Amino acid sequence: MAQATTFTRKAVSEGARSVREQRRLVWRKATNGVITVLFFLFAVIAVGVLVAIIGRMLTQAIPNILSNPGFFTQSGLDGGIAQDILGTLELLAMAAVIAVPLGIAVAIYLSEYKDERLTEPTRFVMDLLAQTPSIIVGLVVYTLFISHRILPKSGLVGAIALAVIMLPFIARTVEEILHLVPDTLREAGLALGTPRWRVALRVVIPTVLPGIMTGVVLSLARVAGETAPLIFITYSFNINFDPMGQMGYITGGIYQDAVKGDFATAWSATLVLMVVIAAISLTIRYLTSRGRGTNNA
Amino acid sequence: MALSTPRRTPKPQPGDVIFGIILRLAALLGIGVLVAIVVVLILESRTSISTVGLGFLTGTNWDVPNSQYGAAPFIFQTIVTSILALVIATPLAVGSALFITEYAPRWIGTPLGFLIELLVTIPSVVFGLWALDVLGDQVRPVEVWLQHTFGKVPVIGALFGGAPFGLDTLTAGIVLAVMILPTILSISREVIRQVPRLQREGMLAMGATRWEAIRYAILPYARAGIIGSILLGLARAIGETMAVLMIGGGSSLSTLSASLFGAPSTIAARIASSAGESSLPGTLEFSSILELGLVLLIFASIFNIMARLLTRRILIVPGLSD
Repeated sequence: MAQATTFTRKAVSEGARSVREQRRLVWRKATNGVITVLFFLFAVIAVGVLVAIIGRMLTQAIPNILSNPGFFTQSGLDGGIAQDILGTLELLAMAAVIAVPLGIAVAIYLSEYKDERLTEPTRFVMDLLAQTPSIIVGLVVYTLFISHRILPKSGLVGAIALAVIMLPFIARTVEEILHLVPDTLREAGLALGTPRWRVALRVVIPTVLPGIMTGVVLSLARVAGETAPLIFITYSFNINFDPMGQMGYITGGIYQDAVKGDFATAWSATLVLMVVIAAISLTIRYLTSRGRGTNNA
Repeated sequence: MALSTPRRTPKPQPGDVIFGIILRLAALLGIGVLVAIVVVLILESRTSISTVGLGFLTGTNWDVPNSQYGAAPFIFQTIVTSILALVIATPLAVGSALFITEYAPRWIGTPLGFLIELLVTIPSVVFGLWALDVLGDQVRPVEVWLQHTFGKVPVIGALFGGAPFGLDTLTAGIVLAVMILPTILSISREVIRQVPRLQREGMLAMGATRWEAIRYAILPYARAGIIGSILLGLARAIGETMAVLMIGGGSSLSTLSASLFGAPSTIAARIASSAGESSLPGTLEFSSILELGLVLLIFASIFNIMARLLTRRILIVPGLSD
């Protein structure tokens, strides 16, 4: 790049003989300068928005939490968000129970049975599913289970909706992870006479188990921020351990508070949520950037 | 015969057969989920499709008590907010991407990119919260100014009619822009990174300014990917629910309006605000919401497929969305 500048100067001193050429050069350099500043500003604006949001969250949430000792332990009726935290955990747990085994099974199928005719369509469908707007997932799950009275408005149905959203993520990330296992490992197992299923379950998966956990946890972190699919189905201010009953969830709590105008509580709940999501994401980034290729067979 | 020909294929183990069946069932179940979604949407909107017909898409009045089901206002609002979001987000995203990859030194560029992409982890309720708490108040004076300055201009003036409260289509467009910015940014960065160095260096060696090198050497290469990222952002924007719902205050505008200061009732927001209703399947009210869902799914799918065709060579990591 330094060379280009020197070339340009040389061009001016040597080649830009006419006034017209010199003027054109000035114009080009001016344009370049303006654009540079412009792009820099754009980047600043983009980061600035993030900083503004996080800043607002911190300035609103921290004083509120500090002045409210029961924030984490009391339910919404008493000014806390305990029911939301518990509810989110319950919903995530139920969703995971549904989505994780299914997702891993699909991933194993996509990875180990690569050349079957069902494989490509399955992969394609998983991608389509991943891109379905979450409000539609919620609408359909609501219609299917609640409107037709198969299940009541409950945390369970909410968990089903979340599971549908999680499924393609788990399937795709675990499939990618399984791809990392070298084929030689599989072939070694097969050569020793191990049946295919044993190779998959006892050789391939244990090798990348940490990676699989990572994928699962990541998809949980992602789904923790969902609200739209749950909005049809359930929200409650009470602490509730019954999957067939309604329960609160952090994102729903934020929605309720925001709409009521109680921004302080909403931002506080946001902080809790973001801390959890950030902690998960950063831990995983850290672990995967260091641990790549150190899986022991 | 003392020696028989050995088997060509290994004898299928019972464990393998069972395993194979389980896995294939899982795959079919996975496919079944998507199929179920589509089937439910289509079946449940039967009533609405047969009763209202094409008028659903063109009708400009959504008035449930009077059995009017014209979804045009919602479709229009969805388009308006999405286009607004794209118009704002694309220059910001592409400009930032270029800044990060071309102008900034590594030690600034990489953290900067990381930070901007953090926006993806923010759930959309939080964006809605931010809009209600902060953005609305900040946008209102701008809107007042806009109305004051352009309100009387013919044609364009219609954009700025109505009462500028600050929580409207314009604000929704801005919030959506912030939400899709990281999507466009990360894909654009990747695409720009993949342009062969020689192109860039060749231009510079011939005395081009940085901008000229970008414009004539890099952008033509990156164009397809960038357009793909824009389409992906568009697909995400039209499916976005919570932030728009919160800005709109849950109101369902039932007539068509060109004003940017009206309530942003997009298709997704309208579906969400029907959550409290207790209409029964089979009724027209219920069915119309499902038909809205079908329309939304079709639009989102079209853009997603177009985006994938354009960005096939680049790894896409789906970000957070709502």
